[in-house]
Amino acid sequence: MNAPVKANAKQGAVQLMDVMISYGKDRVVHGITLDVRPGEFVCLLGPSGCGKTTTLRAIAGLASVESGTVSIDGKVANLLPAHRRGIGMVFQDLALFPHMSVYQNVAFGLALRGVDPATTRVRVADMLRLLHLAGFEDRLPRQLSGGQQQRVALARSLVVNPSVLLLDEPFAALDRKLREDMRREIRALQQQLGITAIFVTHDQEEALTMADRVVVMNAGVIEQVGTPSEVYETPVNRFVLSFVGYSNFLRAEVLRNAGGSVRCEVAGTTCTLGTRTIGGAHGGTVEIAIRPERIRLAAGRSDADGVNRIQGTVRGIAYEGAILTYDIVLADGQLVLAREPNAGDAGLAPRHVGERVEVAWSPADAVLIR
Amino acid sequence: MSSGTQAQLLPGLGATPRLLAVAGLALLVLPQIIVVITSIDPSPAAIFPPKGVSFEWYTNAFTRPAFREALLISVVVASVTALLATTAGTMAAVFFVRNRFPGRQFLVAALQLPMLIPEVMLGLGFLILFSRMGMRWSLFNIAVAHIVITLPYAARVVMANLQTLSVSVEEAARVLGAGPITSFVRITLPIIRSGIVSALIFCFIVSFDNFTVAAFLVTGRGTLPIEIYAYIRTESDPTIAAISTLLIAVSIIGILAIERMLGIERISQTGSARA
Repeated sequence: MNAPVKANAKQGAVQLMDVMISYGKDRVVHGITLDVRPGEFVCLLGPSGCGKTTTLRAIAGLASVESGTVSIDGKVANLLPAHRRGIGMVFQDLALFPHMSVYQNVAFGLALRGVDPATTRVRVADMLRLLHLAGFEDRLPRQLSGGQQQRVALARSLVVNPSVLLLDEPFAALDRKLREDMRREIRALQQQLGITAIFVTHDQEEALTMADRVVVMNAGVIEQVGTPSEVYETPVNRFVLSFVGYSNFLRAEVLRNAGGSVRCEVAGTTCTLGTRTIGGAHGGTVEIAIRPERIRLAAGRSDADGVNRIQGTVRGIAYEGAILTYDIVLADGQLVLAREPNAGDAGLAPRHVGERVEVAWSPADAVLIR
Repeated sequence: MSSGTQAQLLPGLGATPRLLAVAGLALLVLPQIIVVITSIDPSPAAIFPPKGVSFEWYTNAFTRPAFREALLISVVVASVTALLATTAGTMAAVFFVRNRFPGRQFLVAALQLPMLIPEVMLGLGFLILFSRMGMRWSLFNIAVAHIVITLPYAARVVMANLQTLSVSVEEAARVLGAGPITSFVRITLPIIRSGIVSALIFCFIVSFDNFTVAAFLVTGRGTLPIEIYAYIRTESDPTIAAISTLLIAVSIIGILAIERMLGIERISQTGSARA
């Protein structure tokens, strides 16, 4: 298979410097600075209305920048119209040309670049083969399945060999299974072609599984930039902690705060915490955050020393197949979610609603907030 | 017509509404059928039912220079009207659908005004305006007036069509390298083609049928409705019925052609989607 030529290694850098964007009187992006390296897969992750799509549109040239600079391939592109940026983009609704066949859709960008018909035929055929669309050339978009339409949108944007590919929640319309397949496929394609990809999503699982780096956005600003494990394991603030993955937030009273460890009281039980804090918490009433999968339900077992244990009662069980999620009430009424793998006979016996359990977690897995 | 096709024609209707619908259709169609039958009556008094069969009035309609000339004038005026009104209407539609600004609703409503003002008022208004301006070429004046009357139809139809086209389709074309004009010609226009064709036909028909406004503005030779009116003021033979029959036939052929053009497209799309 003739894979398209790898993009020039120096191409594909995207830099945003203090970018501000407004729609009318509403400022939606409040000064974003981001450096995307060539060949990198970056996810802009955030809730709807956080400015992630607007940021992407500014890179594409579809939204105008109020102040700051957008640079592509090292050159300031603020005033470059969308049709001169040479970028690939996959839209949320895919935006296939409904009146054109698959072949015409994919060939559109090449025709505009003055590529001769013979070369166009070869490049379109190669791209369609790469995306498993050979044989669908004459179909109209509406005659394709959702997954196939997705591939046509990808083929159309990749066939012109862009140095940067922008993807705006392209999987929104796909069912779960197909979405997972497309994630893997896009990631593999992006690496094979060596192009820069900037992917917008509100789905944290999507961001974590696909990205080299995740940019967590909220209310028009960047909250954190880091690898998937960095934003998940060491979130810099409460927003990132709560948006990326699920966290239990528990009320606690700090009893003692001395070098290396913190003693506090949670639901009437004294616990030890590690040194992970957000917002410089020292004393008084604080919040501690623990991921549900870092909690073990140690029904009376004696684990290694230093593990915190709080008494609770199972209030509900969500059976998710591979995982069981327990809803536990502590003595003071606070709720804790705990997630355990469904290990069958190899694991512990399933628990019942109403059962008394010990919520056990290691000091290193808790984050102290404010 | 079988009951099956009737059920398809009026789906989900009870007996009484269906009866009313059929009665309504009959009211629309029967007078035209009477006109068609009258047109072959040999007597010059246009008697219904006719006493024989004759094509004398068709010959008369074709051989009278006034009618031939009026038909040509009507076709030219209606064609010019349809082209210009649809072009202007499409431009207005693109502007209003793709832009959001204060006062937009008001302007969209104002665009529909010619449709709401009685044609007698419009005709009188145009007459006063054109005579003040010293514009004496009546056919030109009629065409201008017809463009004003038909513009709301054109803009409306194209706006409805444009609203179904996602902006991102045009944006995708731009990102792929199409400038604004290329994007409009290669992407937007083909997608809203059916709307534009409908607008052309609509405007043509409205202009071709228009009597009231043209009656105010005509000075020399008039459009077909004007000549027909002039003829029936002095004559009562079935020549007008013959002309009407021909116009009805042309309309039916035209509608069938459009239906076939757009309809087949639709059928072939859904057909292969299922395959």
